[in-house]
Amino acid sequence: MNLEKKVLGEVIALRMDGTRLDAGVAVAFKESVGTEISNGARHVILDLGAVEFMDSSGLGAIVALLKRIGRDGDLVLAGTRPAVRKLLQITRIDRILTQHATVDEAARALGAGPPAA
Amino acid sequence: MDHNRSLPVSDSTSTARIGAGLSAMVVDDDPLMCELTCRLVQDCGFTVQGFTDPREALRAFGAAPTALVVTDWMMPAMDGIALIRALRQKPSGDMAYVILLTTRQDRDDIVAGRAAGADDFLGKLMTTQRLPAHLQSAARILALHRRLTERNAALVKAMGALQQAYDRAQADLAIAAQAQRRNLPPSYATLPTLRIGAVFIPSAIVSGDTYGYGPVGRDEAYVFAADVAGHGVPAAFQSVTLNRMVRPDITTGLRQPGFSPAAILAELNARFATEADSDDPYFTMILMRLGQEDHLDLALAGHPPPLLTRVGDAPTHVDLTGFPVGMLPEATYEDVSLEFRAGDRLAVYSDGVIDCTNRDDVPFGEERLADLLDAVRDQTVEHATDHIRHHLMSWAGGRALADDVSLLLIERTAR
Repeated sequence: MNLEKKVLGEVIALRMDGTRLDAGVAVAFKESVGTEISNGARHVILDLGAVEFMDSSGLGAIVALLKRIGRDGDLVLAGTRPAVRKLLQITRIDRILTQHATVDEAARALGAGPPAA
Repeated sequence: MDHNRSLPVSDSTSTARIGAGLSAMVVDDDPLMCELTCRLVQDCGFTVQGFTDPREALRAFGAAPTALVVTDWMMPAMDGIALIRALRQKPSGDMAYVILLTTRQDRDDIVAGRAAGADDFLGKLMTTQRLPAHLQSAARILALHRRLTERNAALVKAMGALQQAYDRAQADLAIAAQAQRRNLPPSYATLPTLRIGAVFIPSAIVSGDTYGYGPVGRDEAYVFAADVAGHGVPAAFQSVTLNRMVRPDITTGLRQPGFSPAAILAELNARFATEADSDDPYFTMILMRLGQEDHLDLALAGHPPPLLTRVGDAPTHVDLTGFPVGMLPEATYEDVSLEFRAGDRLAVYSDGVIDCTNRDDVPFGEERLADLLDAVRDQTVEHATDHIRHHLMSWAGGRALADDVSLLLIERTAR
């Protein structure tokens, strides 16, 4: 599991490079994103454009991160694919977690500055 | 001819200790050359035996471990090439470092020597000046070899210990799995108003999936299924706790005819969801109550929407969503009432059923499940359940499942 990080002013976008966000990678995923939050990230876009499958462990990781960033920040999803959207819908997590079609759209919504070098 | 004790050991040179702890064998048909070479080898710290007859050397080799062999090429009884070939055939013969002494050093000779198994060559005339340097590289390679061998042995030993620990853990898991199965209700049951069959295939011997059912008073029944997030031991532990909790003796709401499934999910959520630790395991769940009326009440908490097969209709998904239990303290749940008449069936399943992949990595999927339920609709609940179980197992193709598979087939019986 690898996260590709893009800094867009105050906003960071983290792209999950694997096609599965499941029990095998959920802990590593949560720790990697958690490190960014510990280092001060408050506006985080999780780019799940490559993720074709997510299970309950992946969902648990995302909700734990959402709770962790709390009221002082934002954590949104971008590029979610049908299977992931469906899981978010069945579990109603789509009601507490904002999704955007693309990272750019998410970045605009979060009021990101111009991309840093 | 044994030179071990007859020759004094010199430690005056820088190479004096390189062969310490290593045994060597010198083979030369010329007794004087043999003795000279022995002395050179011994001066480097090796424990040396000299042989003028290669056949004797061959017999002695292997009687005690020999790290180094220095042998002449041209010998009447058996030449150096034949000796090396024979040595290499002996047990641990591939471990010795062999230096071939020769007056002939053209390319073909070296190729022949290498092919027989010689590690190094030395012109016989240069023996005195150069042998210590060659012994030095021999000793270095032998030391490296020995370190690798020791490390290898340590690894093999550690592997053995790991294997033992693994076997013990597997045995413990098998016992835990048995206990977990005993905790589940029987695979087929008749309850007030319904007949039920259960498919249960755990992914890692122990499972995060659980289910239960029982009567409520005289005329009603409750059924629940749950899937604790994650798999393996932690999920199984939580699922056993949950299974013990969702019973009429603990969750007293289940004793009341006409109870609200949503109220019980809310009660469980209050118990499991705490803001303090966001890492608490959560679970998806479905809970229903079946009374004498022609409907059932159910509440859904993030579990896959069940498939309803009404008499005369194709299986359809019950379009429901709900927050999982134990994830968000503020979550609320609703009861939904579904028409459910005699002969109607409801299939409740965990996501492991639709995510179960075949050899080509194709997930079983909702459509295939709906088709399967349609195909078995005229069979009894028992036969239909068995059919579904076999079908899912053959879909998985005997491979270990990535997630737990559980499915309950519930049929309303005629009053």
